[in-house]
Amino acid sequence: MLKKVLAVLLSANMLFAMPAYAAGEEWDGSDLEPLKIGMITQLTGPNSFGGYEYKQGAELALEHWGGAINGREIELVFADGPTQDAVISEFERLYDDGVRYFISGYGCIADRSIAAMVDEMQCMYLSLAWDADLLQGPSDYFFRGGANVTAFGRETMNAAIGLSEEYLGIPADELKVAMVYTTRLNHVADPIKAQAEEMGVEIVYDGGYPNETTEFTSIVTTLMNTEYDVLIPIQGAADGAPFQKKMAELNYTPPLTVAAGCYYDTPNFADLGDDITDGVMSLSYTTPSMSEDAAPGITKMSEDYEAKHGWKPLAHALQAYGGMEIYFKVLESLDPATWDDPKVVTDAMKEFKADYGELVWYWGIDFDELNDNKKAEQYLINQWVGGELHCVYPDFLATSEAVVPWVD
Amino acid sequence: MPRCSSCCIERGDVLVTLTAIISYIVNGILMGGLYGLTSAAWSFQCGALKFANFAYGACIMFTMYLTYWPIAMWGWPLPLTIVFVLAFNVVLGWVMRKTVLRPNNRNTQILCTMGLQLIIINLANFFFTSYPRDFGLLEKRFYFTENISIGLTQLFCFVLSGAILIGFQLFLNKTWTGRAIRAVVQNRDVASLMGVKSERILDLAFSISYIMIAIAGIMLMTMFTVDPNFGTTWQSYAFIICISAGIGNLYGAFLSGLIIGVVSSLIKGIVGPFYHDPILYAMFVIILLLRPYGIFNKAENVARTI
Amino acid sequence: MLLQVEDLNVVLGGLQILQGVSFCVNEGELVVVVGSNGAGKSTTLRSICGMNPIVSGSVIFEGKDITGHSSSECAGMGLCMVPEGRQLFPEISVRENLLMGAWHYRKNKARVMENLEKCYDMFPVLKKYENRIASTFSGGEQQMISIARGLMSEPKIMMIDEMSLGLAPLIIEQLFRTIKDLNKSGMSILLIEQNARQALAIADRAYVMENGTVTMEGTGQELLNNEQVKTAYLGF
Repeated sequence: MLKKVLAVLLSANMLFAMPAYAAGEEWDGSDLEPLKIGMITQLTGPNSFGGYEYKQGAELALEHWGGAINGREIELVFADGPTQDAVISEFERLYDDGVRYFISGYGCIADRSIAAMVDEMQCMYLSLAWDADLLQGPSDYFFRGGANVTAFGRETMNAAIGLSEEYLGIPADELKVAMVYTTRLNHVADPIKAQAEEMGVEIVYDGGYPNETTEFTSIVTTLMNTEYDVLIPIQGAADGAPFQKKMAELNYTPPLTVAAGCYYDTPNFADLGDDITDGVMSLSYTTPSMSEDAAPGITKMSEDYEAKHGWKPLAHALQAYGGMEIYFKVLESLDPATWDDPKVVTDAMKEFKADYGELVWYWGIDFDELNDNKKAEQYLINQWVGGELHCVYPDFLATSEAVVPWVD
Repeated sequence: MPRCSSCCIERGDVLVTLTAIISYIVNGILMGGLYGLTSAAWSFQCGALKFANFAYGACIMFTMYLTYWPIAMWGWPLPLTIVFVLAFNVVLGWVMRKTVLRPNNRNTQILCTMGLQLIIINLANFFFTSYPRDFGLLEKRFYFTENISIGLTQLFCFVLSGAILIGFQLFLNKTWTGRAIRAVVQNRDVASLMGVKSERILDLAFSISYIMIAIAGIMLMTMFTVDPNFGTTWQSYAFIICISAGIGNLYGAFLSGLIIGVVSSLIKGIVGPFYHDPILYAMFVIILLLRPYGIFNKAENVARTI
Repeated sequence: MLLQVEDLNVVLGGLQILQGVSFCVNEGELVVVVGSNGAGKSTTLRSICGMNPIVSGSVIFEGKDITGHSSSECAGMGLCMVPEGRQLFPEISVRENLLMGAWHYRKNKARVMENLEKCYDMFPVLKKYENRIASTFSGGEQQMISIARGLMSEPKIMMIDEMSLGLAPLIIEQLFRTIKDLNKSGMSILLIEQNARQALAIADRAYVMENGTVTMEGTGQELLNNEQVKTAYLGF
C-alpha cells in the first residue's frame, strides 16, 4: 500500500517537475501502436521533385529523432497528391485508415480546403502554406507553422532596400524599382508594393502581365529604356524562363535582380546556364545553406541528406524537416498514451513556444489566436553562383559574401 | 554581357523614346507574321471551308509538343521530326473530317470541336505533363543600331509564313485542284455534277490547312515555351484576326495579323502589359461595330472571299 | 435510245414524289417535259443525276444501267445537267466557271482550250467579259454561262432544268433559239419547262408530268394541239 502511494506521489512529482522538453525516460510508449503522421505530397506530376524533397526531409527528421519519441514509434504515411482533387481524396482515405495527424506536402495545394474540414473531422493539420487567407477563423485543429505571403512580399522589398543601401549606396527614398510579374502572382506583388509605398520607394515600372504571356520583347525593351536600380521579378517557370532568355538574347542585364522566390530559387532556373543566372538574387524561406551559428544542426541536416540522396537538400526539404520537428517537440512533451486524442496534442501545440534557432529551420514557434506562427517571418536572400544558391543576407544567416553589382 | 549603364538613356524614369517605338513596331511586325500564318489557316478552315474548328489552338499546342518530344527526349534528327509532325497533322486533319466535322451543322461542329479541344489538352497533360517545355535556344539577333534589333529566327519564320501564304493563295488560284476547292466551297452539288468528288476535295483542303498548322507549330516551338494551355491564347488571337479581317480572306488575315502584332507590341511597350488584353479586345469590338464585315471586306464583297 | 428512264419511284422526306415515271430520249432528239409546279420534273432530273436516292426503277444510259450512281460520275459519262436557278459558282469569274465544266478531262490542256474557244464563238459576250465575277451578270446572261459551262463538259446529252424561270420574254426567246440551234448541231437535249408553249414549239417529242407521273406523251405538235394541254398549260 505504501509502495503504491509512494509510486503515485513520485510520478506525480516528476510530472509537475518536468521541463518543457523532457526526455522520454518517464514514459514508455513501446508497447503502444505506432503513431501515424500523414503527408500528401506530389510524388508524380510536374512538381514531383518538390514532392520528394518534402518526403525525404520528413523522413530525415524522423531518422534524426530516432524513429520514436518517448518510446512510442512514429510512422510516416505518405500519399500521392499531384492535384487538388487527388490531395483531398487521399486525405479522406488516410483519415479512414485511422490517421489523425497531418502535415502539408509540397505546394500545399489543397490546404485551404482542408482548413475547412479538420475541425469537423477532429484531426490535426499542420500547414506550411503561405496563403494570406489560409486561416479564416479560430480553429482547434488547423495550424500554420510556416511563412505567410504578406510577410514574404514585404521582406522582398525590405531586402531590396537593405541591399541597395549596403552595396549601391542608395537610400530607400531615392530607390527606383522595376517590377515584372505575372498577374497570377498578384498576391505576392501587392505586399511588395505596399511596403514600397511605406518606405518611400518609387516603383518606376509596374509590369504586371497576363499569365499566358510568352512574348517578352516589348517588356524587355521597355526595361532597357527605363532608368531604375533594382528589378523585382515575380514569375513562374512558364513565363520566367522566356523572360530571362529574351533578356539574354537582347544582351541586357538588369543592374540588380532581387526576385521574390517562386521560379527564381528552383533548380529549373539554374538550367538557364551560369551566364544568365550568376549574380541573380532571390528572397527565399530559410535554406540549408544558412549559417550553423544561427541555426544549429543545419549543417548535419544538409550533410546527412546529401549522403543519403546524392544531392544537397533544397528549402523544401528543410520545410518538411522543420514541420516534423514541431510535431516531435510537442509530442515529446506529452505522455504517448495520450497522443491518440488529437485534442490533447493540439492544445499542447497551441501553448508550444520555441525561440529562433531552437529548431533546425531557424524559425521559432509562437502561435497566435488564429494558430498562425508569428515567428516564421525571417527570410533570407540567396545569390546564384555557378548554379548553386549561396545565402548572402542578412548577416547573421549568411554564409557567403554578396557580390553586388555582379562581376564575372 | 554589357552592363545596363551602357544602354540606359539618362533622361528621366520611364522613357518612350523613338528607338523604343521603332523597336516595338519592328518586332511587332515579325510576331505579326506568325499570327498571320496561324490565323490565315484558321480563316481558311472556318471561312472558306465553312468548318468551325475550335480545336485549332489545341492542335497547334499538340504539334509543338510533337516537335519538342522526339528531338529533346528521343534524340531524333530534325528532318525526321518534321516529316513525322507533318504526317501526323495530315492524319489528324483527315480523322477530324471523318468524325468531329462530319455533320454539316455548324453548331454541332462548334460544340464537337470545343469538346475535342478539351480532350487534346488533357491528352497533352497526360502524356507530356503540364511542365513548360522549350528547346532552350537563344535566338541570335541582328542589330540595326545599338538599340534596335530583330531576332533572326523570327525573321526567318516571318519570311517563311509569307511564302507559305503566297504559295497557298497561288495554289488556290492557279491550279485545277485549287479551283476545284473554291468551286466546292461555293456550290458543292454543282461541283459534283462537274465531276469533282466534293467530299474528297474537302478532305484534301482540310489536310492542306493542317499542314499549315504543322509548319506553324514547328516554327512556334523554336521560339516559345509550350504548356498545355498554350493554344488558347492563339485561338483567341486567330479569332480576332480572322473576324476583323473578314472571314475567309487569306491575305486580309495575314495583314490583320501584322497589324495585331504591331498594335500588341505597342500597347505592351507604351501603355504596359497589364492593359494589353483589355485594350486589344476593346479595339476588336470597336472594329466590329464600325465594319461588321471586316476591315478589308466591303459589304458587297462579303461572299467573295477566296 | 440514248437515255431511258423506266418506272422510277422516288421517296423524299417520307413522301412519294415520283411514281412509276418512264420516258426516253433518242439520239439527236429534243425532248421536252412540261408540267406545273411540284409535278416532279426537277426531282426526275436530279434522280437521273444521282442527287436523289432511287427507291425502285432504273435509269439506262447508252445501254448501261446507271441507276444509283453518284453525281460526280455524271460528267465522265457524258450526262450534263444545267441546273435550275443557274447555279453558277458565284464568286469566281466566267472563265473559271467554264473551266470547271472541263474538270473531268482537265489533264488534256489542248482539248480544254479548244472547247473554251468553241464556247466563246457560240457566246461572244462571254469572251468579252470573261474575267468578270459570275454573280454580277444578269439572269439571262447567267443562264447562258450555265449552258456554256455545260457544253464544256463535252456531254452526250444535255438536261436543262427550268431555264426560263424568272427571265424576261425577250431573253427567253433568245434562249430557246439557242437550244434549238444546239439541237440542230446534233446535241441530244432533255428540256424541263414550265413555259409549255415555247418549249413544245421546238420539241421533237414531249411528255406531260402531273403529280409525280407521266400522264401524256406525243410529238411537240401533237401536244401543242391537245385540248387538255391547251386548257391546263397553254392558257386557253
